[in-house]
Amino acid sequence: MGGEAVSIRISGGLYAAVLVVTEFIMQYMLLPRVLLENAGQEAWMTMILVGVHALAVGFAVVWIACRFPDRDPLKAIRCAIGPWATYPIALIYGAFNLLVYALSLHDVQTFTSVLIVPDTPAWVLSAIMALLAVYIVHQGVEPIARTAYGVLMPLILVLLILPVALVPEMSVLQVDPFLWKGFAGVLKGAWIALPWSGQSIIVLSLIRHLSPKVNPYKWTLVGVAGSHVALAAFVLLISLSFGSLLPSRLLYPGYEMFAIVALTESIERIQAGIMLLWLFGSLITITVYLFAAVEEGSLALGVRRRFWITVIVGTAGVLIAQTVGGGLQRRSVARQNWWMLLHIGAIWGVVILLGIGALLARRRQGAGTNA
Amino acid sequence: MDRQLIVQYLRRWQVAQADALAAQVESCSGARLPDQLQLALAAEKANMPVSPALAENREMVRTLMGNSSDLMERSLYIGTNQLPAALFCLDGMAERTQVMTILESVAVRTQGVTLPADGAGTLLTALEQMIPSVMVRGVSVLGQVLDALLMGDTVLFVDGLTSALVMPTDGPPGRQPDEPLTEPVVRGPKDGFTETLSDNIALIRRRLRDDRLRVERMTLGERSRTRVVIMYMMGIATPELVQEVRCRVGRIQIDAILGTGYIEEMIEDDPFTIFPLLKVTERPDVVSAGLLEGKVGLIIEGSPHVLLMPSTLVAEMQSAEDYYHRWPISSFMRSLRYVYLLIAFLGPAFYVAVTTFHHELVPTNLLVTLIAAREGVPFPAVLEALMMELTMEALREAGVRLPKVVGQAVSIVGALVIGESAVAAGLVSPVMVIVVALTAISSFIIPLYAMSLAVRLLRFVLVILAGTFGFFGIVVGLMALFVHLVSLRSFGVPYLSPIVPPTAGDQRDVFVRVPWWAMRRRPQFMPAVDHRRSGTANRPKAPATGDGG
Repeated sequence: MGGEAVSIRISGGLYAAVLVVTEFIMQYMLLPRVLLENAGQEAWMTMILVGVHALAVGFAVVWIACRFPDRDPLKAIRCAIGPWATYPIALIYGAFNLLVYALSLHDVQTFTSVLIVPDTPAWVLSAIMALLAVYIVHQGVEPIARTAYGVLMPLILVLLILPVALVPEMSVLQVDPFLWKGFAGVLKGAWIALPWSGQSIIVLSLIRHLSPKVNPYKWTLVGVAGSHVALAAFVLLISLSFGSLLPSRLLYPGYEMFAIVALTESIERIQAGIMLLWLFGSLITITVYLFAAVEEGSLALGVRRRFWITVIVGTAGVLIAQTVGGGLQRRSVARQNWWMLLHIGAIWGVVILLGIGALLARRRQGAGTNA
Repeated sequence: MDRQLIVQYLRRWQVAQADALAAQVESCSGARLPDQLQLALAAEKANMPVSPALAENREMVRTLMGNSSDLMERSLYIGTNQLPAALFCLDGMAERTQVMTILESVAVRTQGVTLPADGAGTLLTALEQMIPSVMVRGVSVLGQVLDALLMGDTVLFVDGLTSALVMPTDGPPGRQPDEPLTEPVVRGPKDGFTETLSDNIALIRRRLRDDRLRVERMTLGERSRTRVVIMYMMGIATPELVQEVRCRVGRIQIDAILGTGYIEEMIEDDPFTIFPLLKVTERPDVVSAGLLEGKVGLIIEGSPHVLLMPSTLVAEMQSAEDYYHRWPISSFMRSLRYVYLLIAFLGPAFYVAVTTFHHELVPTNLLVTLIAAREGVPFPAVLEALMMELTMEALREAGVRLPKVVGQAVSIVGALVIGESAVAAGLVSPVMVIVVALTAISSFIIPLYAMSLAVRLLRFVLVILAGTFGFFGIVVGLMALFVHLVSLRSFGVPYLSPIVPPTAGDQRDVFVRVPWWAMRRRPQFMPAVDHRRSGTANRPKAPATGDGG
């Protein structure tokens, strides 16, 4: 009690909430424009397809993790083979999450500069977000999960109310003809969104904090599939309200959709509430990526004073966001093939290396614990 | 001071330290012993035995107390065999009536009785029978004698006896239980704690007449020797929680405890938070209710405030009155309290953000009114808000510090000056006055003072963030705050319980209060041995009626 060091475990609901918020928030604001441009009004289908990819990545990691006690494959590999065996995995995983953290910082700072405080220097916004992320990561996984849960509840509320509020604006004609850009367009959209969906790999950092009583497959399914179903629903609402041409020319079509929502005569500016909600969610997303980068990096390197490594990684993310963040963002948005391959390669590289390491570790250890 | 008697006492003790001290005393000159030597004697008091020679004991007590002027001494002879005795007490600490009763009784009852002069044990037993005190105990160490005197007890030394008799006579004049200043209620008990420890314990005992109510006494403060009482309900509070409280309180090492704040800061889970992690209350009914939920109370001598632990944010937002009014009324008032907590916390920040950065969020008509009201105000909204809030805090602080008769007048004058003159001078806008006034009223709705202080302080931080970064600043501030609150623990209990983590059964007493008959269980988030609170058949039913013919 009190001063004792207690290993914090999160429930299945909290775990799923982190996954939903991490998968949903950034993709909702940044992906619809690109997807609507490539897949047309069937962009919602691309969301379902990339959801399958996200599930594949998530389940692969969960399956490997469940082969070991504590659901901690990196620890098992470290113990069975040696610390060196975890270095390549932690390096790629840490670098990947650092990159996503930096890109997310850049995305949110751009959104904030454009819509909220245009006169404030972008680096200041980025630094404040990084400061907050460092503080939250320092507090541990539980506050991250609880804050995500706090965002999830109003998000579900919005998802339930929004279709009703948009009924006057919706028209089936907006999504006619079906498969306007053909199934090739849908596949192209899905290819573009693949790197985003691969971010479900963060289950590697979360699963060891999951309560042992919880079925990780079930809650990974709830988190990852739930977020992509919600994304598909939102993209469909955008298509039904605006079609696909107009939103593909808007910077943030998901945000603009709320500008036309008027619940009653006096409640007509719910866009502000959505902006706040999105900001909350995006700050959690940033924090989760920083947490993932720091957690695996420090575990692999055996760093005990995690606060300082959090500060260093947090600062590095700000520097990357300010120096090359814009360029990376442009490559990401321009869908350059090498960028896509690098991104997807990093994700599956971690999964494959983890799988090989796990296999070797189990052979050294003998029979492990199955989930 | 008879130095020879001190030396004689120390030599009789027959230990090396005593001989060394005796030598030092002998070598001293002057009317009083040097400070160093007095401190050296004081350091050994816990080992000094009571001497069979009355004169030596008398001299040692005087010396160890530094010939204090409030040390009262009465010499007497008891029994037909005229045994010399001496009664000691501290003026003001011991109640004179009780001392007089003891003195009278010792003098009267021993008349005509020959006290056994040879057997110390027999003499002690005989005296115990004659003294009309609820409790008489014999102590054989001078350190214990001094402790007893400092607690307000009366001590009797008898010549030939190697024990002193201690009789509890503590009870300096204290005030009567009065209505709590910071937690008044319209309906409900009006008594509050006082500065007297025994009265405070009795106020709780009268509400919980249960033999399982445990009262454990400790003494804290090397110099203040403050009596502290740990109270809990055995069978409800978990032994782990009680032990944790004992440990945390027991490890306090300080020269003096002069109030609850001293202890609070040394036993809470997070020393850097501004939120109260222990509930501080002046109300015995609140403490009783807390004990029945499995909490542990800490009563401190000399303080009308009692600490209740663990505490949560929800507990800080509960008023005693919530449980005395009808439940729909209480539920409405409690929900309203949370709404006003948000206003108290976010009101000025929201106004500053909207007027500085987010005009587009305000309906056009309202925006026109706001702009017209702010026309001519020379300061930015954030500065205007900070000035007004600081002035409001100054007025509030002045209202507390000033004597009651002028305090109210100053508040009214201040409000008039701020409200009317500042607007007339064009220094602030009328809307800002409304916002600040509403915020101030909202902060008064928070039932516990410690919580409202935290909200007041955080409001300034949020105003600055809102004035610098608009809604982005508010989001960052709120998120940091939420994470901080989620991380907080009070004796291991999450501070946001039962909202975060949510426990379905405990929502009956959070934003609303369900009827008493529906609150069958104690809060689940509280560590408790027995969670059952009431039976299942408490729901009232109307009597069965006939056909009505």
